[in-house]
Amino acid sequence: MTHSENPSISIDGNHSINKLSAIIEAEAPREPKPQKSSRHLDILWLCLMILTIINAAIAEQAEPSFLVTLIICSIIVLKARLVIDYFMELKGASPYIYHLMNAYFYVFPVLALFVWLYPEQLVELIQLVP
Amino acid sequence: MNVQVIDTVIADEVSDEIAEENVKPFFDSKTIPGNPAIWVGIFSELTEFALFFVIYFLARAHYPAEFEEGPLHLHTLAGTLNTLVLISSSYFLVKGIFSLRNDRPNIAVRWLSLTLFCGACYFAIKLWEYQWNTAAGIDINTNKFFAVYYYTTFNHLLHVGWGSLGIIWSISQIKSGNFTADNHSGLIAAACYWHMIDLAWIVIFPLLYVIR
Repeated sequence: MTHSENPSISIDGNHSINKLSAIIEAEAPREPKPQKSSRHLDILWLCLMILTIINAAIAEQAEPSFLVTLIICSIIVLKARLVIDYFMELKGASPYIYHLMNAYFYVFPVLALFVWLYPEQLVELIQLVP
Repeated sequence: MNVQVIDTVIADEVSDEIAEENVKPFFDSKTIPGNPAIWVGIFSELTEFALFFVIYFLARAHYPAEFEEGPLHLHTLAGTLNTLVLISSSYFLVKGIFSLRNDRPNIAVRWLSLTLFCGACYFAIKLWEYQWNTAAGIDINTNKFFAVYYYTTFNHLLHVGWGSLGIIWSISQIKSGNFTADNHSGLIAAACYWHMIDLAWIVIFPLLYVIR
């Protein structure tokens, strides 16, 4: 007999929600384990596709400038974070792995920006003969 | 308060629980997704890609004119399509993992097959791009930019091949019943490797095709 058919269940203000849940749970037939929804992944996929198309539009249209390079590097970081956090599901996993992965995708965009800004200084820095 | 109201209260509680369950990270802080060995492999591969990126930076600093001109001669559409294909492949893969967790192995196999299809598309697009370059008179000896471009992208192409083998193996394990809703760490390991390939391309694409 399901809880909806049970006439013995009457509710008054003194019953707490928890008590009520326990009664209903005891009476109700066992439901299958709730399915894990992956709808958030659909939205993330869409975001990543849009960011890629923005990158491509920049490649085709924009003239090189500091702002354009900054936007491109920011998009790298954003896309990498989305993949690491939600596709790889590293958010919440071992912090060593999570932070190392994140650091990698911060360091290289920053280096790209640095090299774009200061190429001569980099050449001077790595000259073997002064 | 009648039984209908009770149902509503319970339904709200259950939906809150489900929502919380979906937002909650799947792995806890003591868990290494997949297995430790795959992470040794992933970080080794990332170190290899790091070396390519450093070579790119050094070459760019020494030959700024070649690196400013270079991206203009590349097939941006092919690069963009490959980025979209790789992102979609990662998406299909994680959808497959969710399907397996929900005890739907047949649907998981379909998602993983789509990932594999994306891998094949990546190969086809890359081949088309290389042929287009050849027709345009571009090869590895054209200049320093194209030398870096060919070494980096071909190395990445090889990794897509290794990753595809991992996906094929995962599909076979699901089909044979070795990977189940509660036991699929091997699939997670293969997926992490595949996502690493996707991540490497997320850096390669802007460096070679976009930044001037």
